[in-house]
Amino acid sequence: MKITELKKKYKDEWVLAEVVREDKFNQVIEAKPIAHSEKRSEVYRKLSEVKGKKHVTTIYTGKLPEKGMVYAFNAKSKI
Amino acid sequence: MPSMPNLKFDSGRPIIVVEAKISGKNLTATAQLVFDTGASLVILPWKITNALGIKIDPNNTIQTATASNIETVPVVIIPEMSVLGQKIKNVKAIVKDLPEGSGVDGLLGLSFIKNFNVKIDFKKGILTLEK
Repeated sequence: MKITELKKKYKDEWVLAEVVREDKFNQVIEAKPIAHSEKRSEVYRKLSEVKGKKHVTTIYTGKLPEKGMVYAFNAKSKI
Repeated sequence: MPSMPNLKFDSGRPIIVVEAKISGKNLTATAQLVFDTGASLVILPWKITNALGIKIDPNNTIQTATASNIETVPVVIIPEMSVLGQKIKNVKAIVKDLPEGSGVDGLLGLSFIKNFNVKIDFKKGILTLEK
């Protein structure tokens, strides 16, 4: 399934998919869905169950950021 | 002449999200990371780090301080990762889950970005990585 189709089919969800095709810059073009959920934690749980030599991707198909939210990732680290 | 590795992004959005291809022992994962020159290190979530089989040494940790708390998190070495087809080996990262509502897996920090000449054209919405 093309990524554009996948984003439409699983709108506003997290998707775990096996990569079928990527372009020369490693952008995923086609992928086969393995799991989808509104919860990222559920998709990560499914990722833990993937066995074998595979190439998978995690994708959020909703808008970033959600309405009314901003990003502030800043954190300082003590090494 | 081959085209320069570049990403077309939506400059109307407040973040730039890139696809990072990370190679593990068996599994390879393409994760969605925020391109963040304000982050010293790459940040990967626990589940992806574990699924990739990246070794976590409980004795190799750092403290991260956020607005609300201080937490101790592991430092790991990602054997190999690529963004826009540009591959770097042995990238230092910390293992930490970003908030669920962030819509991304982690951050692409300076431990990866510092290896490139970076051009961000906000007018055209193009990010270019050049070695």
